[in-house]
Amino acid sequence: MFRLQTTPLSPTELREATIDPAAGGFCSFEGWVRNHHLGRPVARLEYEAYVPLAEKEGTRILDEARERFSILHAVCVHRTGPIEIGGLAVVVCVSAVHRDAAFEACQFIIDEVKARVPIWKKEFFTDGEEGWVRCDHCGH
Amino acid sequence: MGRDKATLERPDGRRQLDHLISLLQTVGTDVIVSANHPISLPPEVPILKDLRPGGGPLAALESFHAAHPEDPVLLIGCDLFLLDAPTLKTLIDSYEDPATAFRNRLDQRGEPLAAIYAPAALDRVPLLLDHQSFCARHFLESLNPLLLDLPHPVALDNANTPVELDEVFAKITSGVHPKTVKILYFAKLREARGLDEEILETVACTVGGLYEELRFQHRLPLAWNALRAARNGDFCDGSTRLAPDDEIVFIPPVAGG
Repeated sequence: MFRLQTTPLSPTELREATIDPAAGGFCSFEGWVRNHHLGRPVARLEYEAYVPLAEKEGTRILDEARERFSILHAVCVHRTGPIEIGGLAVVVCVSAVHRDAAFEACQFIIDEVKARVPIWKKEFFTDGEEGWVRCDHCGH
Repeated sequence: MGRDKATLERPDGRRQLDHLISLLQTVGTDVIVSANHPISLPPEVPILKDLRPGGGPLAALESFHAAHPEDPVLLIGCDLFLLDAPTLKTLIDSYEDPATAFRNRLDQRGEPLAAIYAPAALDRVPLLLDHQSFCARHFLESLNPLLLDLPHPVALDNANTPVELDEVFAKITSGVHPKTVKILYFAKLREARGLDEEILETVACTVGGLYEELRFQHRLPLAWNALRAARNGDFCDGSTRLAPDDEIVFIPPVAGG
């Protein structure tokens, strides 16, 4: 399940979506809004997305993770709209029989989401300037 | 574009240069090819080298004027893949001193590489080159030329990038059919365009060609190769053909997480 939402994310709810009696390990990643970028103080972030394609591409990434790694469940939810410092921007949760697959799949999912899903992030710096963040490892 | 556009093969397999030479001969002009390297040409077509190689179209005009000081010249860029006989006839029939040209269909400025220049107008070209002034458009505009509307709007569309070449070849093979499409803008492009979305009529055949038109018209800040694109909710590439009522999204570099 990959989803975008404008309301605050609930990591507990997402964790529960991956619970499985066959699972021996769980791994999650939370992306937090930090107060600095490249040495400049950041006041807040704003995300926007092309929702239909973002959800389609996000779902493809989760399907790919299930094919590549021996995992049981994988979910990812990304928030859009304005988010204050310390807020949760994205959560990935993965459960697996063994821990290695859970770790690897979790990293794969967040890396691919950042590189491929049409979501954009605007930084508002404390000095009043603003700018769109350019993903530094896009494959195109 | 990293390739000599004069020797590119058109969709019918013909060399662009040969196509242009035939086209110019059908409207009754003598043809001279301006080139600084050996190039195979029909026997009746002479080659004219620049007196100052590297000076672009103005250097070609200088060399022509030195060799033919009494003659006006119809200057045609070798990358005009969509040029046609009616366009050339309109230009020749409307010719007036000191220069005659067409308005670009998007920005209305004069097009210097499909224009006729009177001999007197060419007198000042060597001086411009002396001053390292190589811009053919500035030269044309300095002449206060007669500017004409194009009989076929896309006739002077050129190709400076692979995506533009796909577009002009699509126009050659499919013809030009205006269609209405919806465009959604996000992030940096939304701010540059000042709109979330727009519905417009376009003569573009391909998704990449549509972007190049919009980029030119609205001075959009991102080059095509920095973008991805989507048509009707799925990723597509630049050569994907547009259909009526398509929803197109140009995707700036993404940055989730």
